[in-house]
Amino acid sequence: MGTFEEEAAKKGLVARDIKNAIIANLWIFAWALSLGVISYLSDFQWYEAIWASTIGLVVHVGLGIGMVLAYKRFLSEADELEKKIQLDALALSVGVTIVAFSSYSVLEKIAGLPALTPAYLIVVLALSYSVGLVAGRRNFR
Amino acid sequence: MKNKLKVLRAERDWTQADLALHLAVSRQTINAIEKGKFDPSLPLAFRAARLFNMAIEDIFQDDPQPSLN
Repeated sequence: MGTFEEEAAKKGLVARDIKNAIIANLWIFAWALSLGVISYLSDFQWYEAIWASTIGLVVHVGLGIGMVLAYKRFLSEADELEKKIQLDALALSVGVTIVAFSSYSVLEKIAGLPALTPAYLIVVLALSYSVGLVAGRRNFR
Repeated sequence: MKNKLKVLRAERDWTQADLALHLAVSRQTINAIEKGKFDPSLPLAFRAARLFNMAIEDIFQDDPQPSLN
């Protein structure tokens, strides 16, 4: 049994990237959980109490900022091939989302389709980012 | 960009994972560089040169047909 770095290297990974990815994923999980909890509690009109809505919003925004900073740290310290794969996936994600939403907004006007909710934005971003990651990993395998 | 990493690694009987550990990158990065799919950054090229005690241009050579990354 070698060091964490040696064990990670045997699997083709860099220990620093694994640690940073775990930290970023924990922040993402906490942020998504706070979004889910706030959405669930909104069914009970919790936001009518100003103190409750303030705490909820501050926690959610705080976790969001933590998530962004953790991902930024992961990206800036990542192995250089991983960095390229991540940047390609992000470019695809942003591009697909802009094109999809602008196209839909045109269809919304000319074909009378129902308006998109912000939740679709997150879904399109997440799906296109995931596709970009898988495609990048396959490309450089 | 063409390179001699695979030859230099073989001379030392190193696996891709061994070289990756020495250069503090992933095995996938070494694999992609050896296959010519990915060009290393200048700092990584310098680290490789130091590791093999060679000049950068003795390890990495310009390829007239550039890669697309």
